[in-house]
Amino acid sequence: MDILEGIKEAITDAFGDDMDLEKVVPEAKLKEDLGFNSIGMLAMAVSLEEKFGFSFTNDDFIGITTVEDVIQIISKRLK
Amino acid sequence: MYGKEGYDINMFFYDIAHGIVLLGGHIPPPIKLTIDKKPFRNEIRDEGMLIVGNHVSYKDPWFYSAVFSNRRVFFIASELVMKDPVRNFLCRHAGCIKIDRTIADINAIKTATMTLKHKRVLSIFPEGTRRPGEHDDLSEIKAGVIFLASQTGVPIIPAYSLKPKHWYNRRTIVVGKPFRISDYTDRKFLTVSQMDEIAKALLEKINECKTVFDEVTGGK
Repeated sequence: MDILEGIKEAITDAFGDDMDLEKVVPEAKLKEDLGFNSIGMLAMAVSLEEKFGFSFTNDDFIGITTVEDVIQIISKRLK
Repeated sequence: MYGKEGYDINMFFYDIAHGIVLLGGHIPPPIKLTIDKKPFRNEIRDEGMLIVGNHVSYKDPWFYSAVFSNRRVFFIASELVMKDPVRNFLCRHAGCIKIDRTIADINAIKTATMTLKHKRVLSIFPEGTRRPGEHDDLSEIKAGVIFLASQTGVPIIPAYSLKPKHWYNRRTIVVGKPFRISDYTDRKFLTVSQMDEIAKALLEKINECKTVFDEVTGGK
């Protein structure tokens, strides 16, 4: 599965129709541009774990600000 | 510290505190009431559950443990509560799951999820802080408790209590009727707005408990 597509699906799981998926681009900032809060992050993380088959830890979330950061973490974990 | 079944370190301090609550002028345990007057313990015997109430004192978890005296009650606490070594030691041995409220603490959520999936009782105070002197209706709670319930499928039990006037007075705890996320939606993944909506419903249920509390105690 394409990682960005997987992230978009996870964001849809987390936010439903409240999220405009056209805004979900690598350079988008999770909080400022997409309106993420901590529950949104958790909901997206759980969905991503199921889609990609690994588990996040708190360390993964340190320094995450953009969609690109999420893509990098998933890419690293899938290697 | 966290085993396969969630939190399973030696809980000797929990047992001591639980014993003190039961023996320290609270025999039999504090008054137990349900809104629909059904015997509470017969409804949920052998599964995980989330007890969700207002937070007035550091002692709240022990009083909940007295209401549910047939089950060990684990609880979630901010890491700020556990910042000094003594409190950290005592909390760790009292069934406390530490959560960092400044981040999306996925480690704490996973530990809590494991704890519930292994049929344990977990208490959460979703206002996020203690409000010891306030007697207003709860106005806002955090949706993390709804996230946990949706991940585990366990029932949520709303509750309300206030500190008694004197330490030797009995403490009244009103326990509401259990409900489940599946009562509201069949979705596998709840959206953030759905969680917020169910959190509002939970808030109403806790405030219903407060109404019963006021009727029973005169608001004291």
